[in-house]
Amino acid sequence: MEIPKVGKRIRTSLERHGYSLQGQPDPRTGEATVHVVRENGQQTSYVGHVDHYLGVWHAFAVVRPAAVYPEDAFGQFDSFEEALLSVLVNFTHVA
Amino acid sequence: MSVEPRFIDQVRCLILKDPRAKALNEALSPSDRKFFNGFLMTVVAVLVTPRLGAECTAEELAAFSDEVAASQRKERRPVNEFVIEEIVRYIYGKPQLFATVPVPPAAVSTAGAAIVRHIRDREPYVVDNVDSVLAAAEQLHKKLNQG
Repeated sequence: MEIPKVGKRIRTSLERHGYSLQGQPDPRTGEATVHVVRENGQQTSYVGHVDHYLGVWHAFAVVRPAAVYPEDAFGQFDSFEEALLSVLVNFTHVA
Repeated sequence: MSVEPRFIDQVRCLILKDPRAKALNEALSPSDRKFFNGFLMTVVAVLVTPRLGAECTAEELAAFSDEVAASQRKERRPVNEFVIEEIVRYIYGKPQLFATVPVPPAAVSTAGAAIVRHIRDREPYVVDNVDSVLAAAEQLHKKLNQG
């Protein structure tokens, strides 16, 4: 899937901290998932994801040591960029 | 505006590794946290400026944020390098990353505390001169909040 574009400031900040966006392959029609990951040498860590369904973007952030649960949702947003910022401001752990 | 003594006490506990720091932090009401964070930012400013200098590039701020996050992750503490960077960007007057999404006040407290612990663990003067550090932060806070 094609990852929606984000502003230069966010893109630069992601790059500076070694983070990148990865689209989940083969999404269902009308849906999309973009994972926020951190590349650290050989290790890839995950800090959250943004889901698109029912016409809005949903932000999920890692806020516990192991994984993301449905209750770890941090809002619904009209824009991908706002949802991504919500992930970036709310995660507390890397999984 | 003067700083409430309990907020100064809380930061003193944080610097001196007094276990009361955690309990005091958890006891903050939403309104208290707003004022506590205001003081914590001045403590961070007092500690960060000697370390990074009066002028700092965005790249240097990001590198410092990564350094703080790495040290805290080694101790298995929750940490977010983007919020840490947002705090140091604020201190250095750089454009904010989260201009349209508010940073949760608890995240500000966590990131500010991470910066304080990181510098405390590397600069012995912080613990040795805790009263001077807190007095400088209190003075800066008063200066920044003059009516």
